[in-house]
Amino acid sequence: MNNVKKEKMLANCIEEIESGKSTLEDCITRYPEIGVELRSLLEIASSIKPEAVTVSSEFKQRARLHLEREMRPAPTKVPDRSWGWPVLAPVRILVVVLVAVWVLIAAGGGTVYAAQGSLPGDALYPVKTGVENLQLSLTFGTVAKANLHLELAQKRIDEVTREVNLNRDINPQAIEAVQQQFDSALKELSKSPDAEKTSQTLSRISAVSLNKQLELENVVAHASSDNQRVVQQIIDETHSGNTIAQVAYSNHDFLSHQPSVSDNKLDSGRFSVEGTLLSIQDKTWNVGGTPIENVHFSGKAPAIGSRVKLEGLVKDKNTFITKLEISDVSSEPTKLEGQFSGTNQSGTSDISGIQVKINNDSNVSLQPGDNVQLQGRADDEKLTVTDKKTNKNDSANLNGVLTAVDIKKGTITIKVTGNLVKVNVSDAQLTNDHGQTLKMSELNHLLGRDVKLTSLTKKGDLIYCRNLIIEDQD
Amino acid sequence: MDSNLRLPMSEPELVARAIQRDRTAFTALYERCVDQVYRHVYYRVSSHTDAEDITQEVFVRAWKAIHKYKSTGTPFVAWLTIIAGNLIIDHYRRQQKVVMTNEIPENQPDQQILEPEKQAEVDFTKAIIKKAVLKLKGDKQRVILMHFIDGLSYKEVAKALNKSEGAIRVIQYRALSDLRRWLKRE
Repeated sequence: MNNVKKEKMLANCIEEIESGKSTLEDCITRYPEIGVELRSLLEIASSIKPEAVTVSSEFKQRARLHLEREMRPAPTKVPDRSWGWPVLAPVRILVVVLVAVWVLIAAGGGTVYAAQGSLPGDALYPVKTGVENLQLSLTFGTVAKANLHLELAQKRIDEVTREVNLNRDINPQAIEAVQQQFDSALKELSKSPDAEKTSQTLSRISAVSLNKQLELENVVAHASSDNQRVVQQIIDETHSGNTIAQVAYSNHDFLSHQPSVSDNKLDSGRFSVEGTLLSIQDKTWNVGGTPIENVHFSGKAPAIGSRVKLEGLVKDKNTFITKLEISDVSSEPTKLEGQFSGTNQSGTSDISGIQVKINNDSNVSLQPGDNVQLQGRADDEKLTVTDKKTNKNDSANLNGVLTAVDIKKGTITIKVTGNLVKVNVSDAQLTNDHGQTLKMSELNHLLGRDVKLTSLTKKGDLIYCRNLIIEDQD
Repeated sequence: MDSNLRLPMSEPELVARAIQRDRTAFTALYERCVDQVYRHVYYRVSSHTDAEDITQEVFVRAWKAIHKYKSTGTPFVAWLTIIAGNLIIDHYRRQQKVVMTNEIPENQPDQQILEPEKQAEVDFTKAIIKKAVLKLKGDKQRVILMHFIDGLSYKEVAKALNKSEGAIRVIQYRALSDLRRWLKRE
């Protein structure tokens, strides 16, 4: 039996089954010589069907309006984009809300629903933002408001992604619109009396901002040069949003210091210091000779003389501790890790906002922005540089606790700011703090350890990372 | 004759008018084809938001290129799905969609409520087959999608792809055999 006949038999059977003239069994009986093959091919064919999706009438209406606008002969009217954003003068807000309410009444809600998919510049976009403002004014409670602002930040970013995909010009006001929604969410949370709900919302802010950062990083390269500038600034905002959420999740005090996603220097204040806690005076902690000023820490302060490892962020001379570990061993040297930003005339260097003296004998030339590791003894006045890495403005990073490993799928799950995030590490370089290479199978024995993932990207339905570092357990 | 009493125009008539830049005719074609284009796109991207964006763009592109359309006797939707195919390729180049734990979902009742085990099993099989269909390359994928998803007859598929019906049957046989081989491995 040659293939030509098989092909015709198959096509005939498919058509007959589709039209109801024959059943699969009829076909097999008719062509017993290729019965086994025919059965499996027909079974596969019968499983290929369009999905039972309903095309929403609001989408059809919206797409039709869009099409009609596109079909209008040139020159087309340039829409007034200043209407588009929620940064509106009060009178305009009032007008937009009134329009929204009127439309709601007049169209029985259909137009308002249709407006939900509109983009800045679309005819229905003012209705969308008007309804959002109405929603905000009708939402009560700080956490509820914060969640709504977060949802709106997410919407603004999704609009930017869609605009890039549709090759539309993005209004630079998008930068401010995203910032406003994130900052408003943080501001509302700073007033919340409910610590648990505040943490939950911070956890969501962290997840949303990371997620959106990675999505935008996927589209930025395909954007026009003007759009790229806007998208890159929004990427920076999402990055800052994630940093703020991570710090505030561990230390709610941070919220009362008005952090803003427009602050793209937050990362330079991240530090870790390890040493013997020599004294606590007012709010200044002396860790192995290194003064950490204006410490904000909500837990019980460790005993003087214990060895501590602190992680945190310095902002505007305030130090927010995000992690504190205490050990009994007190003979180890003092270690400091952070970002070098310069040395003043009296020879004091600034490492992530912490003032230290650096030993000149170390013969290392530091540039502002370098990430450095320093080490020294508590009785010395100076620290010596032991490692230096030029700071690259790399893609998104994640720090968390390793909670699961799936060797077969090449994925790990880490817990970060209350979220469980699955990351594919099959192509990642796996190392420990000392740069030693690890095997995937070894990760199973390292559950519960701190892990740092760098160079994150999104592909398919997973986050991928290129570098994984398992931190040492002291 | 009063225009309200006129019989609805046939698809070839609408297409002919649309080529002459008749916006009303093209809007009528939109009404006729939008559901089918959407289902085709949704099958391939599995996201309502993306399917909406792409479907919307298909008609805009089609309007801009309608003067290039050559009637071959195939349904107009076949041409639209070819445009959709190009946009889907662009879409995947530009953006790769990711879901991350804890993201706030949009208020869209997208997800079907599954009945217990049996429905889940059927859906799983369909999902596996769909994944395999989307792995097919070139004409193999085109033929399978045009016939099984867009509902075109072999004759219409042959005209749309400018091939003989025999050639379409061969491509279909090879495509289904590829799927069979891959699914055996799963």
